[in-house]
Amino acid sequence: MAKSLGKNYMIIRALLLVMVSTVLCAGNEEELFLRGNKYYQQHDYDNALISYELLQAKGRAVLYNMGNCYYHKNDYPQALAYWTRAQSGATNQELLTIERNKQHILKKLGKSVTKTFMQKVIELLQSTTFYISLFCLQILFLLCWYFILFLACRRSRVKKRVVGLLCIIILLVGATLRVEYNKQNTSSAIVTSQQAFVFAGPDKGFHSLCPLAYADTVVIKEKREGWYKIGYTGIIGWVEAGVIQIV
Amino acid sequence: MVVKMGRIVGNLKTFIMARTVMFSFFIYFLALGETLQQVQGERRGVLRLLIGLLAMSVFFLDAGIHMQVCTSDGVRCESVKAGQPFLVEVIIDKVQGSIPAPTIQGLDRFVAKRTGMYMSSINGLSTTKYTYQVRIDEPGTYSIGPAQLTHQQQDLTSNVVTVCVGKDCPTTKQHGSSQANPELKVFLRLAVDTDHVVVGQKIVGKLRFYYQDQQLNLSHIGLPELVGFDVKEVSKPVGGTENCNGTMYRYAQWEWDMYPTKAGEYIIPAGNADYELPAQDNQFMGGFFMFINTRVDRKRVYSNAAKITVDPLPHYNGKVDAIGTFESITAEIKPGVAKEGEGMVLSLEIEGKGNLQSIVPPSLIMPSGLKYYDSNSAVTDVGDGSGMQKKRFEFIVQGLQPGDWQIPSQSFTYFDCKKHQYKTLQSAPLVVSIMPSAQTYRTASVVDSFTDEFADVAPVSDSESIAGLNAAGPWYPVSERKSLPWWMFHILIAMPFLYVCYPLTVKRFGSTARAKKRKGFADARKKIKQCMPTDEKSLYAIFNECLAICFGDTVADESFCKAVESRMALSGSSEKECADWNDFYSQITRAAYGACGDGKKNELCRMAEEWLNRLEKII
Repeated sequence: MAKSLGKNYMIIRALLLVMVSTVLCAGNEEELFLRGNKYYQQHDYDNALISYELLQAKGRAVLYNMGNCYYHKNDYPQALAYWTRAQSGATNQELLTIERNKQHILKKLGKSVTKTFMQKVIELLQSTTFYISLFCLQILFLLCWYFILFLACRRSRVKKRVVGLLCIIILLVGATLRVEYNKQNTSSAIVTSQQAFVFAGPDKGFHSLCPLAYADTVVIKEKREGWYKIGYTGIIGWVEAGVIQIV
Repeated sequence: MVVKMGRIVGNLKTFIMARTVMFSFFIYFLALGETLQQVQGERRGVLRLLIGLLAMSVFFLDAGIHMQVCTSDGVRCESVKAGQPFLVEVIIDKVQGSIPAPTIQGLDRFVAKRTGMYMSSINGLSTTKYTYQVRIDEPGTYSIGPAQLTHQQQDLTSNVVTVCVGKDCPTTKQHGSSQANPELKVFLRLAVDTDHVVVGQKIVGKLRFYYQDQQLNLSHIGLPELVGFDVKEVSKPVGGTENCNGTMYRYAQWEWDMYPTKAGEYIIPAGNADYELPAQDNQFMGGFFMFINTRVDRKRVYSNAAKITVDPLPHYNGKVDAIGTFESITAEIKPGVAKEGEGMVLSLEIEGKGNLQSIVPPSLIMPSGLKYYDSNSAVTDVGDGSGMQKKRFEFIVQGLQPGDWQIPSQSFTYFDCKKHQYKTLQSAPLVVSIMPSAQTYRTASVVDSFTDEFADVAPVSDSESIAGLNAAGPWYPVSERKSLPWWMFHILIAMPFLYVCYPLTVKRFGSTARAKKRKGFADARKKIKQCMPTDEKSLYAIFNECLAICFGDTVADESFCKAVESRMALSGSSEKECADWNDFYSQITRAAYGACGDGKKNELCRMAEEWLNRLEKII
């Protein structure tokens, strides 16, 4: 009895220790974040970046602030990279702010900031469905899909209107899911070097296909030692790892 | 009045009765004296003297009171140890009825309490014994008594006892057990680390029980009563050995910290220990008593007392936090940066030797933008073997206003026991930054139209035309939106197609009639193998069953042969082959319903197998 009590006591103590250490760690992390913010406010961007870098796990606020720090240090590609990272899981308001910041940089760099219709639609879809979980969207899509097939088999009178409505839902949800799927399954990078080239193979001995524009976004296809296979304006080629920053 | 009269009459009656008994004894002795008159010579004179003495003693025989001093074991003694309790017994003999407790003169000068009363009665005459436990803390010679009481209008006065109280001797020889090992020694020693302290100074008290016999069982330890001291928790017993006057003893030691609360001279009275020793086995019926647990001698031993002089603290204009010798005071706050309204932990550590347990949480000096609350405190050993301890106070500090705040150095004043002077230690000042809370940021964002969700305390210049700091968002990663695995999602999309595609697939590849045919032939082949080589009678049934599956209900059982023949003709088989089929079919029919030669059995089965293969192709 006494032994088991002692054992339980030890387990409770160990659990308490773990809890306390977790809380303390969390406290330290938040302190770093606040310290970084303080440095930022004092326009000490280097120290702010050091504080943010020390954070083990960075949330979107940290990433956004790091982007700001890089912006103030005139390192625009890094700023773009960090802002793009901060977009993951961001609220609509945060997304809008980040987009505005990005456009500001692109304007500064003299790049086109006009958006295609599709990009606008995607943004609209993303902002509309932000508060619905992806799982719910998937389930909604599947239910609509099954219901359409069911109606197709039953051949009922109301089917035309309902099927039409379901089709619209499927299209919207499907498009959102497609965007999310792409986001999850493709990784992009931003060109950080002002003199970078796309090579035909993963070596400088291959002939260069085209130059890479500073702060442009490329799609990563494959990774090999020190080289990335990228897709850039319809060209597939290889770039050195040092000239791009993975988002 | 009536009661009083009754009592007087009762007392008078008892008195008369007692005197009557005595007088009758006297008459008896007189009568005895008359008989002795016959004794002649010198012996008569001697006898008369004896009778006279007897008569006188009877006449003067009366109630008596007696006082004596005993040790706690009940052994009479005249000297005791200072601080060690002893017993004063007042015995009242030959009285009738109950008697009140006597008044003992001079007992109120000592620590005394009545511990018991014993009464026995024989032939109406009772003996009563009152026992008092007395403790004298100062060495010297003291007189106690007389004990006085009034009983039945008779004033009884006892003798006066003299007690010699001496300082302790290091060992107390075990007494009262002549049968026990004479070498056995047990004693208890009380010790304090210092006998001259100031109020609040830490004193370490130790009570050590020395013994030699390993069979000794310590059943109870009675720590001394510490009046005038603030006593902290008594430690668990620690064992060891020590050489006392050339003899090696084992000991068990209890230790405690105590802090005098007032100035003056204090006597720490003796502690006591009860122990048990196994009795000797050479007694008759010893084995029997073993079962009723009487084979141990229970003993008690007392320790010495200790005297402590406590001086008052010297005058000091201010608050004294502790008494002792302290090394340092350190302050630390975590985290150094916090949001407005959030809590930080301020730790204050005091290291040194002294009344750490008694130190109350100090009052902190805080800037206006901070507020603090007491939390908890703990005393821990430094662990370097120096006996230093560390007391850690924790405070929850809450930032009320954003900005950088300095917590000034905290002071700690103590009385240094070694140097007999007051000293003050100071901690280093601390700086904390209180950041605006998320709520404050949001409120600010309403005012600042550009920064929307975020607000930057720094002014927004033209070159900084981006949104400011995000101080409200989560600094920790928020889990991504959960979803079904994409492969599963794709399968779920494709599932309805399976429902549509299945009939088509069956139509195209899995015609049921063909499958049945194939199964029928396979079954027939299996059955033929099973009935080989002897059971040719089953061949007919096997073939018919197989052909029934192939042709279904379209052909009657009896015309299977013709149906096969016509199929053979259609498939381009020769007449000879058709005739062979007819011949074979008639053979299996005969085998089923008639007799068949033994030599043909095996041949028939072989042919059946061949025909099955041919029919499968034809049909």
